[in-house]
Amino acid sequence: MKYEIVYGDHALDRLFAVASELDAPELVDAVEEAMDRLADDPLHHGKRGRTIYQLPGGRVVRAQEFDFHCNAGPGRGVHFRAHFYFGDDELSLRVINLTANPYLRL
Amino acid sequence: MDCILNEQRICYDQLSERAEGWKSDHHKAMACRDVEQAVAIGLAILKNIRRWHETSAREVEQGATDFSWDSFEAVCGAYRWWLERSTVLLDVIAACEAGNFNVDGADDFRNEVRDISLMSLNVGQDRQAIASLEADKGIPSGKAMDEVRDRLRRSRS
Repeated sequence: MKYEIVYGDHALDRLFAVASELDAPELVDAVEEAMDRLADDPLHHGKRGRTIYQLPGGRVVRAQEFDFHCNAGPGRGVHFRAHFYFGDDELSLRVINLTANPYLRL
Repeated sequence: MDCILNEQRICYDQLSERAEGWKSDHHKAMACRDVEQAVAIGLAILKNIRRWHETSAREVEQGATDFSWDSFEAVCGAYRWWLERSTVLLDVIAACEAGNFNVDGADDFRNEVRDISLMSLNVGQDRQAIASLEADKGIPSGKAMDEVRDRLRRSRS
């Protein structure tokens, strides 16, 4: 079963900033592909994070993490981590944030 | 835990404030030994911050403590402080290695800095994202990515 991915407010701000800074618009496609893999099998790709959130309705959730990296031009790459939780409908992955850390390949 | 962390914080602050001096003296092996000491302390402090984080998360999950955004902010603040101090040390480690001095624990330290730099430490933004998601105002993947593409196109033109 494929889950639906839904992003919260400003969840993709860092992706925009890094793609803009590295002048690498292709990063958006690469991230979309990676997140698609997560949607196919979140239990396999995701891992239990340390952070707990309480949702407005009172439900307490533990954030899940999905780490991946993408190429961003010659000699450059970006590590990403999506922070998400399962919607109470059990059909969606709700993404709180996508953090990114550019690096140079040695 | 707070008391131990505070003492360690003061020590780590002092060590990393000296880091610039080490950088200029990086040709001296003794300076690199001091860097090793700072790296070891940094890793020990991170272990404590994580233990604190894990304990408080477990207590909330088990219903022993109520979740509070203020407590979450305190934990995130500790990670942010650690990351700021540790990023300074990364430069000094690189300077030691460039002078052919190996720094014990450097690889572990770099991995930990990368791991913490990928944490979501902006509490206000997380809170806002969750509020929008739970109000059914989240943006489906295809639309969200197209919005980023549009923003990039606009910023480049």
